[in-house]
Amino acid sequence: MSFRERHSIPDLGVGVGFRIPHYGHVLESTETLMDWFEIISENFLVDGGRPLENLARLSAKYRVVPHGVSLAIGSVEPLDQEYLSKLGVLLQRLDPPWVSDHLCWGRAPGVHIHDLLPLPYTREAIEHVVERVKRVQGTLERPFALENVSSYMTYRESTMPEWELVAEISERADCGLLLDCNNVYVSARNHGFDPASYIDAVPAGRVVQMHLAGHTDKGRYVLDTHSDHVKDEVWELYRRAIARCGAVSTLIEWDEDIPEWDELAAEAAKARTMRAALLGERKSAAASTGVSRGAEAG
Amino acid sequence: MASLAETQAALAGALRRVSSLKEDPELVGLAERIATGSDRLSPVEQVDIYREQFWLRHVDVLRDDFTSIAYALGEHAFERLAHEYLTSCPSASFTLRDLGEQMARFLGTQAPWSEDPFLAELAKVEWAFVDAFDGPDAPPFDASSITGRSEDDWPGARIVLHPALQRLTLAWPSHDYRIAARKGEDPTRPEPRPCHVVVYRGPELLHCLEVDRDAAAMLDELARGTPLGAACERAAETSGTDIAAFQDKLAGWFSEWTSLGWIRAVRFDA
Repeated sequence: MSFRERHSIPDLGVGVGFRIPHYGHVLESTETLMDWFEIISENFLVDGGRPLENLARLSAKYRVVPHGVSLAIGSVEPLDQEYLSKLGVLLQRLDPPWVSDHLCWGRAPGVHIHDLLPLPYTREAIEHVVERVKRVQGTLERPFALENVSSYMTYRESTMPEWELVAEISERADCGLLLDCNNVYVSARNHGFDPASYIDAVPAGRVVQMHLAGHTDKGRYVLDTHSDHVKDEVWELYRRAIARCGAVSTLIEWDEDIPEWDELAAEAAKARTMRAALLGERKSAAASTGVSRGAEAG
Repeated sequence: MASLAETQAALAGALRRVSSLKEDPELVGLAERIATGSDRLSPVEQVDIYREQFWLRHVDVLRDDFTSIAYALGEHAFERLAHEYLTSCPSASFTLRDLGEQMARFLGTQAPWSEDPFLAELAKVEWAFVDAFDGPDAPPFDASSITGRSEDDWPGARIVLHPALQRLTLAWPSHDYRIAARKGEDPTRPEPRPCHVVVYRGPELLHCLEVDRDAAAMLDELARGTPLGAACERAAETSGTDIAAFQDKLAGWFSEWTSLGWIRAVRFDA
């Protein structure tokens, strides 16, 4: 059985990030505006006030999945127990089908960098992260997924491509993956690898969620800005990822220059249409061959 | 071959450098030892992308939290403040929400900013809004909890204030300056005037209300958990008001503070 099957990970459809400019519209509307929402965990690890009121209203109507940015799973600093404890309280509030954070580091002795810094792709990094993911999963008692980050630097120490590191960590730690297609594209452009190779190497049965977002071409490099529509090249990778992984919950991230709700909803609708078409093709293909790829190992 | 710990420690130091790593040959060497570079970016340029993002992100957060200070100082001077602050007070929390926690103390103790105490006071006001925004909740006041109580019960009663309520004593009307700066009203620096304010969370928005000296003294005693009778005596002494005149205000305060949501409970021990 795949990771998704073992943990009964549902396909939530296509969602968007819950962001301040849309709070009023989303919370006041009597219609169901979206399949599901993702929140940035840290924004709701607070004692009270409007953040928690808004979250209670949102979660009363929609499935809400928390996505963290501060776990620093790859940092050599000890795991932040206060953070994990607060995250645990948030999980109790929401009872989400999974919780995610990034495969990165962001803490060093005495300082939180507040960035998603890439790890060197080394045996040492694998051993380090596998052990910590196991501890996090044991603490949170919830399916946990790691997201691949976009990167702008490559380490001399690296001894393997990123996708090999991602695959080995997820297999050995027995965790899920949040496959960010835009991050794959951004890193591929910055480092000159074939993004399709990355998608093809990801353990398909471990992918519990996908991210789509826009990026910014800075000339000599591409920056993951979440400030625009999803680019055509990223849609192509998404098609490939859905064809490979099947019915996986998908999320549009748009965090800067946030558009009006209708424009954001249209982007989600585009993903929904694309996904439905691909899943229909996949189902037809499986029926004609008698093979179910949903049971693919991973 | 550097260990993961060595690599992370070295990078964490480099990313927190204010100026480009290219300007320091030692850091160029460090970047070359860590990063490969690419056909378009040198190793130091790769690392510098993260360094630039570090400062953009952190200064943006401080500008959002301390908008009135950015206005008072001007953009260039505020950036210098942000750089000095972040160098002295690196983020110790998993959340950027806490980034400015030390700002009032920093401004009050570090030259040249400590030479202008108005800045530290502005930071105190700004941070009160941050704390009021997402501080703990408390159930609404239940009027039935005080029905049937005799007059004798009240001196020992403890009035429980909203836990997110922030009480400040200021040397300038800094709260008015803050509001005007945030509205883009081009405020001028106010003349000194002692004032007492309460920053609190309403049903929709955060509010700031100026209160008189007596009310401020009473709120401070209640916040300390002083029983009502003793709170009246101490607060009257603090503000230099006759105790009888002070007690005459109690009913009005109770009514007003309850309607504003400041009073959340009354506890009668035993």
